[in-house]
Amino acid sequence: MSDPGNKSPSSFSEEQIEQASQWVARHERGLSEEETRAFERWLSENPINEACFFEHQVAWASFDVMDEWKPAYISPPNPDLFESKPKSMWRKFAPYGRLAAAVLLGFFLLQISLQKTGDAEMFVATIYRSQTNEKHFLDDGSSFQAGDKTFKASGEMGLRDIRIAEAVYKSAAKGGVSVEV
Amino acid sequence: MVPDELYPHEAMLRAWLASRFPSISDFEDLIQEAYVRTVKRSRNKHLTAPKAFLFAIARNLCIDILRRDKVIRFEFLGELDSLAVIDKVKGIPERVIDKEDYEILTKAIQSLPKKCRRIFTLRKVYGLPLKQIADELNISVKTVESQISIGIKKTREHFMKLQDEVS
Repeated sequence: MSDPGNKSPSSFSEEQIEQASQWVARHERGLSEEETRAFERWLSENPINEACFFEHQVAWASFDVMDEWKPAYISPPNPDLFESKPKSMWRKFAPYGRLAAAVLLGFFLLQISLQKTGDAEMFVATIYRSQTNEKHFLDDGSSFQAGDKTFKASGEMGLRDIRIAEAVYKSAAKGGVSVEV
Repeated sequence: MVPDELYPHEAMLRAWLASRFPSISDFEDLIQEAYVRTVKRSRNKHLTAPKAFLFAIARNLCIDILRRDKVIRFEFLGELDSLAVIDKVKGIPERVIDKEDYEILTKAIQSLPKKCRRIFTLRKVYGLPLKQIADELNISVKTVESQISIGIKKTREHFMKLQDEVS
């Protein structure tokens, strides 16, 4: 056999790649006498064929060590052993759920607790200042539990800066969200 | 007698690695490690293509080293003793490198289309004959064979891409 190792892996034609990968697969199944002769003919046609075959053989042999992953305690073979688990719907949309809940909570507090404390042009409002760990229930049974310095809003008319921190919101709706911010 | 079969290929392996990993200047330790692993493997399992196996192991070791170097260089950029750290990492115990090796192969197999991936798993992990794979998946042996062929092409491309990324 010639030296297949020095041939550039990028110099193979599509046809050579196709044939080489097929030959490796056939070797895996076992060659008939006729196929063995055909394989030898193919190799002798062009020295690059041998290099191309070897490259594909290396790719296939790379996985020989994978039998060390065989789970000893599971008898039926699992063809999906390496299946990547898709993210669950909840995990996929959880960040949006949290964001929506936080916005709703902020909006709710703005509605119920906004107090105008200055002149008409400018005001600084404390939307809500709760007692630490005090639990508040909404009309629908949802609740939120606020920490110290939890909610604060200030700004000019139409421009409000709302800060929310250390709150736990639990929706009363079945399957509703529970959010900690 | 795998070593006797393999040692004549050392020069070829060196040239093969040098053409793929020009940034590695010294392959000596790496080649020896690849030989050790191949021999160790051959004691427990029959290797259908020992030379290809040796080359695959050596290639994975090169990828490991280059990936590790990249991570270390990034993490220790500007540190005075970074080169010493890299040298230590190169001599890391075999068990850790094995883990990296498995990661490379897992990603390669996960990059395959579903049918290919299932066939690769049944063949390489469970060692099922092609006929049994065909029965298991309710497909023909011919389909198993053609899917293996597709998978081989794709995994070779995957390894080439990985080589380019780390080099």
